[in-house]
Amino acid sequence: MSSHREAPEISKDPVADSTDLYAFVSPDRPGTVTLIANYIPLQGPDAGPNFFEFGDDVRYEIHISNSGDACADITYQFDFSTEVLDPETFLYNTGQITSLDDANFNRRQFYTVTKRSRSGRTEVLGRHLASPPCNIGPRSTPNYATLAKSAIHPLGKGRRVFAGQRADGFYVDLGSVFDLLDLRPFQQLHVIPTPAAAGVNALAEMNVHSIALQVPIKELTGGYDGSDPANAKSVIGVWTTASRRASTVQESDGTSAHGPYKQVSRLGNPLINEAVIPMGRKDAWNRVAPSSDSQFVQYVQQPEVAKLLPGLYPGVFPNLAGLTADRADLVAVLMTGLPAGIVPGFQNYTGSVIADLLRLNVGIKPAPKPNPLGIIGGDLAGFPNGRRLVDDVFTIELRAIAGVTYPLVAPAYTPDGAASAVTDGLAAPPFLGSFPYLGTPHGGYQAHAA
Amino acid sequence: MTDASRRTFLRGAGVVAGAATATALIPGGSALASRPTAGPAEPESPSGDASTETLVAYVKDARSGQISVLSGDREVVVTDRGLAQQLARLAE
Repeated sequence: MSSHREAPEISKDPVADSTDLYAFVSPDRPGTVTLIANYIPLQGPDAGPNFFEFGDDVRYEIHISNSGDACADITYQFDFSTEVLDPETFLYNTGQITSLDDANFNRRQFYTVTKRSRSGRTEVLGRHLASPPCNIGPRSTPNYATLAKSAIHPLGKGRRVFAGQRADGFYVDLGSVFDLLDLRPFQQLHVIPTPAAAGVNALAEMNVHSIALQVPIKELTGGYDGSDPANAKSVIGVWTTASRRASTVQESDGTSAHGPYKQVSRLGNPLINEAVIPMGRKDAWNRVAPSSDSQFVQYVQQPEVAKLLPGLYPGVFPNLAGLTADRADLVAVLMTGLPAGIVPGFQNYTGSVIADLLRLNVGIKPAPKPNPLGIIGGDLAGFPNGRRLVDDVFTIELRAIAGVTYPLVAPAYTPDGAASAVTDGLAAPPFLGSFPYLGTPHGGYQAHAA
Repeated sequence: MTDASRRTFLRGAGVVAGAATATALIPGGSALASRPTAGPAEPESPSGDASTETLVAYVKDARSGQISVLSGDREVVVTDRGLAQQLARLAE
């Protein structure tokens, strides 16, 4: 998965587990950037009586670097609190919920959004902002889409925010991928062949909890309007983190937490900690800052998947099998951004600091008809230029690792034909046309109805 | 908490020592002999305005005396070998 349960420790702490990060120029408000950080993976919709919610004891953050050192120049911080109207009932809702302040909405979450700048300035952008309930079913949460829409809050100066349950927008065939990298259209050519079969989106009926923030471009770039994509100021680096207090003490009447927040989860580009960082270092990856990622660069230079493909698919990836040089292409794509002159009309270079950041060139206008393959599909507005919901990041990264991007740094190299064909065989689910873009969450009653 | 001192460590209601690490590192001697006979160790006379907030003192390394004091959203790291070993003995 993109980053769902991607490391041993965080897989046991889903409330703090970042699953996906998106950053794109808003297609319907092109003067803004939308940032979406998803948490709490693999939510079955029928999750009563205790439906999913953000952690009151977790600090969620989205960081922006715009000065080339992979350190945060701006951080948006989200702190949640839960309120229960009637603790004498076991019910999440005591009747239909038709508004965010409905008396039947028994267990509610609110949050504060705080903006911190590198200069030390701290600004509270919004307090006691309501999250919507989870989508329970037609009796409890009728007109869910309208109800959720009322949880979009303005934050002043053109910003707006939403925090609550959404349909998971990531799509991947987990069953195939983790069954010894069973990939299409080469299932019959695997060393343990199986008949060809269509891809299955393992997340098709799953929900997540999303923090979506829409911010004017100039706020993220230090005042630059992004009018020239070639200007270094057009590029921002984005990552999300979740942190817990340093110490939690279990007491007979509850828990007490002490000390500063310590990072337990982070996410920039999709699938890095998932499928590039080895198991023994995944937990450490989650605890450090992107600016120290040079300690992991060897796993990007020599990705394990690139070694596995020729062995699992004999004769299918012969050129990849002979490619033993460090993968400077992958380092550029994932860890520094692409300098100008590599892809015509494009750059998202943030400097020489090796860091896993989702790098967005805000000067590239949204594509009227997005290609899910992003830049390798000729669409400069897609991954790895930030990440849109529609981007098929699994296939893009798989093909990059399989060699399709290596000619960017070694023009004499010829990728295997299979490298531009390999995929898990899925198409994106439907999304909304406006903020927060991720689809309405699957309803609990409606779950498994098919 | 504006400063970390021996007094504030011992006055806090939530003192927790990293017992396993610390006790394993204390060389020789009888821990039992130094254990207080009743209740926690009494601090020296209070110096004034210590926080009433609970705190955690985490003995990261009893041998070096490195102690992290966690209070509110702050962490103060101090080095006090004597105090670290005293806390370790309390935890035995």
